[in-house]
Amino acid sequence: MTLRKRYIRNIKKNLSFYICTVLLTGFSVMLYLGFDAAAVKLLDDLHVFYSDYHVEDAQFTTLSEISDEDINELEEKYDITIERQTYIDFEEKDYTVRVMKRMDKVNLYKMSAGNDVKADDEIIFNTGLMTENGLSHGDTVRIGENKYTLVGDFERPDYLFPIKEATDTFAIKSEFGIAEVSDETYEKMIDENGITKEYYSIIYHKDNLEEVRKDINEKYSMQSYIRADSNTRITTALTECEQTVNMMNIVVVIFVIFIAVIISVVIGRKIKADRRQIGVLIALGYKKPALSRHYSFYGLLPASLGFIIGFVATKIFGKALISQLFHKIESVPINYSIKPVDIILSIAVPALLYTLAVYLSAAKVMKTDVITMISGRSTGKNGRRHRMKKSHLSVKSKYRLRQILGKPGRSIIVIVGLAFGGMLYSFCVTCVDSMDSYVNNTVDQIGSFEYEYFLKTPEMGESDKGSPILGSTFEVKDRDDMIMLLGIEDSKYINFSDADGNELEYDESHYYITTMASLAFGVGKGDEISFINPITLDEYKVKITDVIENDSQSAIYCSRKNAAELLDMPEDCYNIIMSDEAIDIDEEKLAKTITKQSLADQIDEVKNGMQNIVGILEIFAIAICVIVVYMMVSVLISESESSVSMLKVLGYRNKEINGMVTNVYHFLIPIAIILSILLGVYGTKAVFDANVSMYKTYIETLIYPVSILKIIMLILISYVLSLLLLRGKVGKVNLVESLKDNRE
Amino acid sequence: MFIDLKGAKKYYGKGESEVRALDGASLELEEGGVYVILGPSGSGKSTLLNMLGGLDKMDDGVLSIDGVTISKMSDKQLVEYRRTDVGFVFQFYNLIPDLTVKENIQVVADITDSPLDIDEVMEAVDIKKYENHFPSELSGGQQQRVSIARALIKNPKILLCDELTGALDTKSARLVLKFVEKVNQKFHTTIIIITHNEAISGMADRVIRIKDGKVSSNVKNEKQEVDAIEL
Repeated sequence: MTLRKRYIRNIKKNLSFYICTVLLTGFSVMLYLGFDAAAVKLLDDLHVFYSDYHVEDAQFTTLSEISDEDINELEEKYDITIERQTYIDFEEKDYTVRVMKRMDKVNLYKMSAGNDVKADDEIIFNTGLMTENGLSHGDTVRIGENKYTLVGDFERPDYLFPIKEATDTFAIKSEFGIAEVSDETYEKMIDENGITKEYYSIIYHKDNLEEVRKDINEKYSMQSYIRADSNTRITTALTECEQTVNMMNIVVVIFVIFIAVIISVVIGRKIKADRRQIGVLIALGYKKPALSRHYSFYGLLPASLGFIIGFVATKIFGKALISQLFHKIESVPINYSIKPVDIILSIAVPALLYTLAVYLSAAKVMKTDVITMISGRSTGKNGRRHRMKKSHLSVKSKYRLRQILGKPGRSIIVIVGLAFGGMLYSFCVTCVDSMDSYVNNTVDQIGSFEYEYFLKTPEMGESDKGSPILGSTFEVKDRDDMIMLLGIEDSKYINFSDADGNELEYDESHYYITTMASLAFGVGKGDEISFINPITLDEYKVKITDVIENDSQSAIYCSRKNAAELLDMPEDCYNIIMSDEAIDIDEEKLAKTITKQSLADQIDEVKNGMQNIVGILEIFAIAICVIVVYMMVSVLISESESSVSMLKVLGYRNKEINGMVTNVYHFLIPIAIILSILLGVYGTKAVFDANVSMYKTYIETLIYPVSILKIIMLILISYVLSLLLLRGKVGKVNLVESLKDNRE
Repeated sequence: MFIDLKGAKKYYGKGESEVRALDGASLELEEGGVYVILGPSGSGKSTLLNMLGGLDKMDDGVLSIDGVTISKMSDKQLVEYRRTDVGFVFQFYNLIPDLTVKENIQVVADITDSPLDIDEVMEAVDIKKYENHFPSELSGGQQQRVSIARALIKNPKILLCDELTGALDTKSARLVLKFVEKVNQKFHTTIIIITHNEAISGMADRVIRIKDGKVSSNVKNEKQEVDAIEL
């Protein structure tokens, strides 16, 4: 069809528009393939990895040892797999390395690179520990008193989130990791250093969980039981992927729809401007559906080119982006690839959406009768344009306002585009500010204690120093999460105030829930919460008297007496000591120590990581703002070509025309700024609220004034930048040519 | 001489496709007169108007107006020339659709050092009562009168009218021409009308004919009042 010759000519004529839409489509394809699809693929691969390498269903400790014979018997009786895991911790100069006994049945490791250990002087590290410490295969590392050759690196499914203590919130890969050595070397290490800790890992093959747990508890006195779905070492990788998928699904869908709307609006306007030619073609006998199909190609083009750019960019930067996103967890030992179905989706969805948008726009224009189309008259309503007839505003201001109000579609796209770009940035800075505030304020909000000492076995009576606490972890009924029950002697070290800062009176017979747990489990003042003792599987239900301000711990506070009763322990026993100063406690007795400073340091680490992402998103945000404004102002100039030309004929200087035509959207900037800040802040709040259980803390959302200033600057810079790029465009409007249309 | 054009040449294209829009056109016109330029399509009328209005540059030749050489002006100088000395009236009015009648005139007054009184100009072309209307709410004749008022507000030395009645019915056309006549009498503006319509030449002081890019004749005319012209 001869009409096809118009395609190339149209592209040449509207080159900047096509470049902009291609870039925006490229961004969304990259977001989809690079983050969304990659996270889905990662999730699939994680499940395969967990299954192939026999990740545990739970781990537990017992008072009495389960012998190998008993293990065999239990496995046979209940169709389960149990394996005893032991490890030895070595505190080295730069890091702590946990040498794990090699497992045969559960939690098997997979080599990421290099060789597995063969000789007694060889060792392998988990990948994060090796890379974060700048180590390479062949390096010599000192573990305890001995030297070993690092021959390879690996990942274990139960340590993909490598934290030292199960209760740690953040993994600092350079400071902690795991290692494997030969069985002989491990035995030698035990002889020299002793076992740091042991537990049993279990896999159920039948739905007999309760039966097995009760039997083991009765026979061997279970001391602790942690399900895999509440073990962050295992779940973090899954939740990170799921979160990314959920978040990216929303972002990508919004992004693609947003671009489709832009393309539909812009091409729709171009088709409208083409209505005279369309009228002529219809008068010549062309059928409307054929013409609609002809115009649909204009949507197909940016979709196809955008896909190519996005796909190539993903191939180049995809792996780096996904590693940045999942920096918290170990790099999963899988081959990074894009599924064919995702490739098809990333071309098909924009192509269909854009084509449909353009098809509908063309069909809409063609609803007008042919005579009106040929005459080039507008059929649009002029109600909005006719406002301000008697206003005392300057002619220029009235012109600008009418351009905004008279073409709402165009104006909305400008606001949404700027707000969308600004929101990305606003979201990041709000995250960083909130974390910063958390580090500086929220950690202190818990109370005046500085140290929490967790004892290996409970003690009776009163502690010499500090305040004794009886604490234990429970499974929240019908949830995967755990909650701490803390029986306190008094409220000395605890901040007993509600969310509004009002001081609460501590009553020994009552139960208080922290704000974090309240939010995570949806339990408030006067509500009841049920939790299960993970050892005995006994269920308890307590009524919450009040919610106390504590965004860092998922806990219920009650008196030591009540806690002892629930745990079926003597009234005056305790297993935690809380203190505002360091206490000298025998290392043998101590299971772990938590300091407020260590909690702050961990969050600070994440905040610093987040700042890198902010840098990347800053560029994304500016690019989106610039592209959208450039495109819309470009459309405005092209639609106002005859007015621009006339102003030139009348003697207006280019600078004056720019001031009148190009600067139309100044009025919309404040709206875009307010929207982007609100969207960013509320978006962050939604993410923080939804991820209380994953972060194991509640981070209150806030934004510092300096960040607001940064957002304003970012939007202004983007806006000014796009206007600078458009400065020449007015100059290019030919003052004679554009009048030709109106001549004989 | 107020307008002095010598050997104006303007060629478009090259080789076989070369079009000689102006091919050595020369013209001399006095200040304050009404001049009608006649010629068939493609004769070079519009190109001549573009040169006189500083909208385009000639390839060769000299144009001076009121002693100032226009043909050697830079783009910036041409902007200043159009800004102060020339008023345009086009066949299809070319009003800015987003501005009301008064605002379309005001937009020129805003960039003029000593504009005429806007109400006086609107009254002169009888559009005061439509001052708050948008172009789309007016008839063709009314829009053309707004276009004349817009051109006049800066009190230009020359008013260039390109087929100003081409899109109008006879009644509206006569009305518009009467206003042009009135403007010439009241403001002593030099008026150049480019048209196909031989009848309009009746109102001219001189009638200039153009053919194949050259001025074929430039003759004094027995000027008639617009009412007496058979349109």
